[in-house]
Amino acid sequence: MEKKFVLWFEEGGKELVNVIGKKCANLCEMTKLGLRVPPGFVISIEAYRKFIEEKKVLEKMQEYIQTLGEIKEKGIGIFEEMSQVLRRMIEEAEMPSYLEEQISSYYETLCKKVGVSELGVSVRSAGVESRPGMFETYLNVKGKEEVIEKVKKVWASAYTPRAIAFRVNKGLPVLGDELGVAVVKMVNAKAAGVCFTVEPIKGDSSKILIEANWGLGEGVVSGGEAVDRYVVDKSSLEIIEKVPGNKTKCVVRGERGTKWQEVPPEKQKVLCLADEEVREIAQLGILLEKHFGVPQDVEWAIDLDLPFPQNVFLLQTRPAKVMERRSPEEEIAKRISTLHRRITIDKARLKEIEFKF
Amino acid sequence: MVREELVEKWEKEKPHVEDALWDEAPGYDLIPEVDLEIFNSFFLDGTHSCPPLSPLGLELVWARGCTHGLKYVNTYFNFPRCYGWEGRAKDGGIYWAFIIERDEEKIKEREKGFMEALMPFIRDFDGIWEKNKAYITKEQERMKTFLPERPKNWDYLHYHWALEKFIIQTHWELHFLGMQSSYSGWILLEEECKKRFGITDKSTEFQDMLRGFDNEVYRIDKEMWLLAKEAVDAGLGEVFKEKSAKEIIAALEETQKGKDWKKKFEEFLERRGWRTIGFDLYDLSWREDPTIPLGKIKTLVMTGEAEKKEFSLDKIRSELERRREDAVKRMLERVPEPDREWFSSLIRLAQKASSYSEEHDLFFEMTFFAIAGWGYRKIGEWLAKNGCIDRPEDIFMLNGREIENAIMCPFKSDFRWIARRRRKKWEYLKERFAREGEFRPPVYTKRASIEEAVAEDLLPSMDPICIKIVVGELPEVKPQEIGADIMGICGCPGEAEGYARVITDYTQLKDLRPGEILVCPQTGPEWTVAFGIAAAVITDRGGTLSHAAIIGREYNVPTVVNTFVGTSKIKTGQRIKVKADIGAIYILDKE
Repeated sequence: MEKKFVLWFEEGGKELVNVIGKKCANLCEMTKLGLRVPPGFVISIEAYRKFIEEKKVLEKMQEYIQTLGEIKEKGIGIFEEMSQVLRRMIEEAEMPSYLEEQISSYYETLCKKVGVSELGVSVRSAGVESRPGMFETYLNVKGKEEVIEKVKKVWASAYTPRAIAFRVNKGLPVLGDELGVAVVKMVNAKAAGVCFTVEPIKGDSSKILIEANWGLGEGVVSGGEAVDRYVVDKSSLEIIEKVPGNKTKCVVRGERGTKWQEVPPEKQKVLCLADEEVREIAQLGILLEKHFGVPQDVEWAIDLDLPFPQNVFLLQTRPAKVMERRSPEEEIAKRISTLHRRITIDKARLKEIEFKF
Repeated sequence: MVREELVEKWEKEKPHVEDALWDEAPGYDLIPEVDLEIFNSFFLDGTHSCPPLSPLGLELVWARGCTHGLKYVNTYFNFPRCYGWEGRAKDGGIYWAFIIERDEEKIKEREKGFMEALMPFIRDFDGIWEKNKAYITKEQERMKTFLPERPKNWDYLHYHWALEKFIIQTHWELHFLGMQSSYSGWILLEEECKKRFGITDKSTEFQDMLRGFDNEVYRIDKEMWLLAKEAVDAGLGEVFKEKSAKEIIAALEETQKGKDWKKKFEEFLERRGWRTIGFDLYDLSWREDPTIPLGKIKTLVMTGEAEKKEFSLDKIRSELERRREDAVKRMLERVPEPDREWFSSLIRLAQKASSYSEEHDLFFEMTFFAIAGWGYRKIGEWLAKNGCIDRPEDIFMLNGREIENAIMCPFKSDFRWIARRRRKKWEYLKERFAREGEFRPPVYTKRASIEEAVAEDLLPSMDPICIKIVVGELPEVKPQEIGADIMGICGCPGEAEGYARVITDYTQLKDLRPGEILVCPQTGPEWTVAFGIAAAVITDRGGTLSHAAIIGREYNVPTVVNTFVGTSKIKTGQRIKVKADIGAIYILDKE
């Protein structure tokens, strides 16, 4: 039998992190727990490896890197240039036919399941390590050709200037961050946002923080808009704080892809979640925190048409990153210490100086 | 080669009979053939041993005491790259080598301890300083009354040991704790400002954030100003104007008003007079030589400063305080919000470097040396009475172990020959220094050049004090097009033009006229009065944290430090122009 490079969410689990990437593994895990996750499938990291090896992409990338020599000495401009060359190598190569067939067939099955042809899906990146915001995600992708194209684009996003710079600065190989891909049915979202099961600035773990905007979750995570803010007490599920934002814009689906849209004035300062929805999201957050053993940063969406509670969907979960807040004295001590570490003496310059003690 | 073998070899090759007698600091004598094999380079401490120090000052205070203090503080704070300094004595000078860690793994290991030790000082510098101040004040009082009414031989010996501990431990350990912690803050602030905004610590925006502070030294200056004012009000102005400092006391006895004033002055001396003028135990304190404060008061009368309604520093300070608040506010506005809290703490810590640096001289060196010097004179009187030395102050020609050895049976311990010999050499060194200026090599090194010595054996220590004051700031590369005759470092920004007054000894400060530009080797607290008079100040030595720079900023007088050649190149009466911002000095009427 032909090797399987694609899995339904129901077939995976968190133990497959190294096979399909973190985000994919978590989506599978949530599905297995019986939580409401939109239907979808994942593409293994191995698929990417087959692609770059069989289509000689890897070879070309290695050759190119060798021509560059020592990258660290070249200044920031080099990352931009490398990114353009490397991404094009990936995006322009053809996918091996057996891979293309597997992905297409899963997509078609998904369309049938849902009962919509040309179903809108999101194509999401999944590294083995969680690096929020580092790689690309494509929303409202329609049709199998476009799905295939976007899968390659996700793979290529391991070579954004930012991602290359990150690896070079960390002393990691330039060629790295092989990605898994999740293909998820788009939720027809009325509202969406994030839920932290720990207050991310002060690190207070007795509270849950929910941020919400109309439309898709990207209207919250992009961080530009003043969104609604809800604080829920973790033990009593009481909503302690409800602060409506000034939501002038939100992200919605277009014909293909997504777009920013003006929020009608009468909806801008109105809370976009009902209390029962807030509590439902909080409860799901608590459940995920218990299951994964650490505070979670959850992405969710509320479906426009379904009745409560079937309308609350989970799109992603990952360990919540609590801002590392050093006290001022820790910060200063740390910096003084770094200063001692990074001493550099420019001997050439010392030669120009006349010393007289 | 191990040290033992090196000494053996040195002894075989050079049986220095003379040097063996000139052994004021046994174990700390600089022997280049031996010491350079181990440390590579030794740098002359120009800030503290010019002019040459007396043997006891050099041995007890500097070679043993200061070396201990620096090893103590660098170990206490776990400075990642430096375990302390190694002091060596030669020709009345103290030379330093830096005990540097060069293994990057070990440096990394030391960092955690470094941060932990530093944090309490960042959090509550003032609290720690107040506590230490209370402790040293108590110890100082104890030393003043240590000897019983009729001391026995061993009382003198116990006193000697107590004074050694007083200087080496109490004084130097606490001295450096405050200094290294606050200077670290200054250096980080400078680095952050340079990195973020391209501002160095020589710029006005930077310096404005760190000045405008009152401290104990200024309060004493103000008391003297008030005394000068009272003298003028009591009609004693002429006495101060006409008589020399030495004659003033006798002249005051002639009138009732004079007697009344003298009483107040004596009361002032008992409270404030426990301070020396330099960095040597040999120096007399104000109590012992009242002509020093009298000379200052005379200067205040002569310059008309005593007739002003307000103490000039008070007025300047309130202006500087306002500017400081503005400068800090402007800086914090430029700093992104998440960094603002710690940045503001950092500014506060760096401000301590400025105020502590000025105040610590008074609480530490000057007061400690005054008390210990006075104590040793008492022991000296007793030794001289018993024929052990020719005169009481010859005790400063002996080292700690010789004093220890002499005290119990002074009448049978003849140290006159050692004292005479050392005095002769010391007098010679001082005389030569006065005549030629610095004649001792600035660096003893095995390296090919001074640059290499600095790059390999000094800078890698990253020691804040070494970088900021003792060896003087590293001179910057200056563009030729400025066309200045002399270049230095900006201590306080501003421009001035006027006649130069070259003064190499603070007792000549009375010659300084308002509007003149003071040119001097370096300044200490005794020089502070000059900043209220001079239009600008130029010094041969120092950095942005040295006395002249700090006081210059407090008085808002354009100040250029670290010119190296100011006193030798500029002549009194020459018209000069100072552009302190760029550290430039122009001689307008060249001969």
